[in-house]
Amino acid sequence: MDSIAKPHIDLAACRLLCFGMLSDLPGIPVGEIPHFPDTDAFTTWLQAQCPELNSMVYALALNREIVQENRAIPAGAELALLPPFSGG
Amino acid sequence: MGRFDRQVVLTGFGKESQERLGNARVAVIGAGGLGCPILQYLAAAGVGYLRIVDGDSIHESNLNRQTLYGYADIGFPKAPTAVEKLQQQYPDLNIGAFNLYLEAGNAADMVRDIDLVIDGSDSIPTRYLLNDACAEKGIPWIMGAVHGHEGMLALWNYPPAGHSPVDYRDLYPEMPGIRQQVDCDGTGVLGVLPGIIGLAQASMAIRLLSGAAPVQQGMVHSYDWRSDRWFQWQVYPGRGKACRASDNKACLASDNKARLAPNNAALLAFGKASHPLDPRVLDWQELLERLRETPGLSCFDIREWTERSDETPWFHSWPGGDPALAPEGLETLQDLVLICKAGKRSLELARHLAQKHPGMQTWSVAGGWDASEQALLDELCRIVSNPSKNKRA
Repeated sequence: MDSIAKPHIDLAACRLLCFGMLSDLPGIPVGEIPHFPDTDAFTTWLQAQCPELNSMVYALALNREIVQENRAIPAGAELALLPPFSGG
Repeated sequence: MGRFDRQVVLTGFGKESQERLGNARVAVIGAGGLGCPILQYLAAAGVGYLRIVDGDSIHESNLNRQTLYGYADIGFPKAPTAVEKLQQQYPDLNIGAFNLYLEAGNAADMVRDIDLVIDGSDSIPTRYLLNDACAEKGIPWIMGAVHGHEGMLALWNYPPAGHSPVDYRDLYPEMPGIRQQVDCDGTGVLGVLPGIIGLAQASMAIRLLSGAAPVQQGMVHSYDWRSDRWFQWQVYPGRGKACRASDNKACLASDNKARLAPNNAALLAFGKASHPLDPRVLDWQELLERLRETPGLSCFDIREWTERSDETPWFHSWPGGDPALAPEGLETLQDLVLICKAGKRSLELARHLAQKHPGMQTWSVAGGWDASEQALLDELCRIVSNPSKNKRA
C-alpha cells in the first residue's frame, strides 16, 4: 500500500497578530510563524524580516500580556504587535 | 418621573451609584469623534461636572462622526459649541469649556480638581502630556484612539490598594516619531468606529465613577471593525515611571496660564472668527498677508502623495513631512510655513522643527488644504506670480 504524505504540522509553531499601521508594512509575516526560544530572539528575527520596524514604536504582546523584558516563548504561543493609535 | 429614574431602579446601580455620578467631576480632552459620544452619554447619565478642552473648530469633514454638530456649526469652535448643544438638551447640566489645545503650560490647570480625565484627542503628543499630567496629580484617565478600522481604549493610573499605578508609558515608554502620528484626516474613518470606542470609554467612566461595576487599570481593549472582534492586552508596571521622569517633568513645570480662557461666556463670545490660540497657527488670510510681505517665504506642502489631487507648484513638496527625509537646506531657513491636509500634522511638525532649531520660526496653516477656497488659492497664485505688486502702499 502506497504511503500518503501527511502535511507537516509544527506543534511548536506560534501565531503572529498585527494591528494598526503595522498591518500595512511589507515583510511582517502575519499568521503562523516559527517558534523562537524567547522574545528577544523573535524580535531580532522580525526586524530582519521588516527593517522598517527598527524605527517604529510598538508594543509586543505574548499570550495577551505586554512584554516589558525578555521572556521565554511557550510552544504554540500567540504574539502580537500593537502600535500606538493617534486618531480620535 | 425624573431624568435618572431608569438607572436608579436598575438592579446593581441604584440611588447610591447615581449620587456618586452626580458628585463626579470629569474633564474630556477633545470634543471630536471620541469626545462627542463621551460627552453625550456622560451628560445624559448625570455626571456632576463636565469640562471640555478643545482648541479646534468644526469642519464639514467632521460631520460623519462628530454627532453633536451640524452644517450650521461649521466654522465655530468645538468646545463652546458642544457646551451650547448639551445645555440645550439638559439645562441643569454643570459644564465648562476651554477653547484651547492641551499644552505643557496648561495641562496641570486643565486636570485640576478633576476626578477622572477622558482622552478624546487625536494627537499622540497630547496623549503623553495627558498621561504625565495625570500621573503627576494622581488622577485616573481613560485613553481612547483610533486608526483606520481599529480603535483602542484603556484605563490608566487607577491602582487597586497595595498595587502600583500603570500608565500609557508602560505600554509605549517613548513617544513615536511623526510618521506614526497619523490622525483620521490622514487615514480616513467611518463614523461608527470612534462612536464605538467613545461609548466604551463613557461606559468605563460610568463603571469607575458610580462604583456599580469593576474596572481594571492597564487592560488595553482593542477593536477591529472589519472582523468585529475585540482583543484585550494586559499591561503591567514597566519603564513608564522612569521615562516620564526623564522626559516630560520639566515641561509640565512650565507655566503658560496666559493662554487659558477665563470662562464660558468669554469663550462663547469668540464666535465664528475664532481659531486656535496657538502662536504657530496661521489661517489662510494670514498666510496671504505674510506672503505679500515676504514673497520668498518658504512654504512646504507635507501632504502624502495619496492626499493630493491638485498641483501646487507655488509650494515646496515634502510628502509625509518626515523629519528624517527633510528637504536639503531646511535647517538653514529662518522662517517656514507648513501645510498638510487638515492642519494637524503640520502643527505637530511646526512644533517639532521649532524645538529642534531654536532660531527657526515655523507656522502651520489652520485647517490645511481642507480649509482652502478657490478664491484664496487664486489670490495666492497671483501673489506668488507677481511679487513686486504685492506690497501695500
